Parts: sequence; C-alpha cells; structure tokens
Amino acid sequence: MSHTKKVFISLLLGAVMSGCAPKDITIIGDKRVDILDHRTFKEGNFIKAVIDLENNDYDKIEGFVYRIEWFDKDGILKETTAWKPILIHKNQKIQIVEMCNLPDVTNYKIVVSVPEKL
Amino acid sequence: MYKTSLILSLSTLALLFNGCSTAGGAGMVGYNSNVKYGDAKAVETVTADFGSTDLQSTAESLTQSLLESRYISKAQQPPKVRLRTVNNLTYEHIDTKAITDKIRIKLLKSGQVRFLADTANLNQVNQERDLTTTATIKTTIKAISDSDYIITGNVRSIKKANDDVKDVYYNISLELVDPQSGEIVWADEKEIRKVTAKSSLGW
Repeated sequence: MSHTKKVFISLLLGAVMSGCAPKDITIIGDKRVDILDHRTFKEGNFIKAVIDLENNDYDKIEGFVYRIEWFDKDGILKETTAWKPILIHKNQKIQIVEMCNLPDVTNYKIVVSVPEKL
Repeated sequence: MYKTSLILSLSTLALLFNGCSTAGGAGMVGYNSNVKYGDAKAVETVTADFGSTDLQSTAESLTQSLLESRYISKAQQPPKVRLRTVNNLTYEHIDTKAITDKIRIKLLKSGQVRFLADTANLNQVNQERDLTTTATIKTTIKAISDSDYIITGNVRSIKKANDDVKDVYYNISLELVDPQSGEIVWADEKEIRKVTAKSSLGW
C-alpha cells in the first residue's frame, strides 16, 4: 500500500471515529459507569430513547443519577426529566427506556452524575 | 465657612450613597441570607417519606406508559378524560392530587388527551357556564359531563424497620376506566423502595 493511500485511510478513519464520539452524553463526576449503547426510535408522535448501561466493577454496587434533556429540531431545550436515581449491581448491565411526552422533540442528551466515593 | 459646609455636604452625600448600595447587586434581595435556590428536579433524600423525586418519577413513568397504551395512542381523536380520586392508602399524608395534576399537565402537553374539569370543580364550571349563556342547552351539559375515560388509582406503602434499617416500599397504581362499560382498559404501577440505614452512633 502506498504511503499516500495509508495517510488517506488514516484520515478517513479519524474522521469516522470523530463522528462517532458521544457528543450527546455528559458524565459528571467519576466515570465508573459505562454507557454501552444508546439509540432512539419513534413511538407514534413521540421520541423514545433506549440507553444500555453497565457497571463493570466486580466488587461494588454503583448508585448514580441520570436525566434526559429533550431538544427540538432547532436545538432548543424543550424539557428535562427529573434526576432519577438508579442502582446497578456489580458487573451487571441495565437498560433505561425514556419517552418524551412532547411531539416536537427530535433530539436528546443523556446526563449521568456519579457521586464521588468517600 | 464655605469649606466646612462643602465638607459636610460631601460627607452627607457619601453616607446617602453608601446607604443606597445593597449587597449582591441588581435584582437581588437578601443576598447574604441562608436561603438559596436549588434544582427543583434534583434527587431529594432528606427522609424516606414520599417526596418530590417520587412524585416526579411517578408522574413521568405513568404518563409514558399511558401514552403508549393503544386507547390513547391509536385513538381517532384525543379522548376526553376525567381525573377521579387517587386513594391514599398509606399511613402518611400524601397529596395524591399532586400526582394526578402532574400527570394531567404532561398528558395535556402531549396533545393526545383532552381533560374534563374534575368533579370537585364541576360546580364552578357550571356556575360560569350559567353566567355566560342565557339558555342552557342540553348538548352543552352532555359535552361537559360525558368523558370517554376516567383515571383512578391507589397509593399504598409497606413500612418495615428494625434497629438498623428502615425500609419503605411505595406502590402507586393508576387505571384508565371506560365509564360506560366499566372496563379497565389500561393499568400500570410505579414501585419505589427507599432504605434508611440508622446511624450506629446514638446522640
């Protein structure tokens, strides 16, 4: 493979990886919880978000809070859910399903807040 | 004499300006007090009693479930719903109307449901209608009184405690009932468990 071709593939991969970066996730505090996957689909007029989370710690139960921010097509924040507490047992995965009750919402952001360990 | 009066005037002005300044800046009163605004949607764990977080998460999850039910989502036109009493069967005071009001606001925002005035407020609605209309038409009364569905429910709790731990379990259930047939067309529940570990140190 020529040097030019290698450089081109590297640049392309870099661009693709950069596009995959989770811009719609914010983790406040320690990153002890992994967001494995998140996706949306339409349920009638409403948008529904499915988020898969994992506690990859073999020893500790993780307790944290999360909320979803719902945005319309213009990027205006229409609604936020309440902060919701959740527990994940050690080395377990869970799935969160949230649906926005506003019809004009098209996008979302997940905010996870993990408390500091004392 | 002139010098003394000038100094006096300047001192008085300085005192006046000093008196006018307030701590904290424009638009703030009592900036230095102990009262602070907090996040209305923050998780609250002050006690194990039914709190704002329980109210918010219950309303969100039951609204979501209700909007997914085919009687709401697949309806030809938004059905007319009336809220009825949600019974508080716990040992503590819970304002169950706060739960149903929050659900009603969320459902109204969705545009999928229309709500009729509560039976408690129906007298006021009738009085207002009588004031604004010269002749009462039977069809108008029918439109006010006929609901497609009613929402009822219960709030229950189980409390257990020993010397070290206090455990409270809440179960909030709602039903969507067709008043003509009496059929329960949708029902769902929200379960909440709150555990308080008592301090081993006695004060």
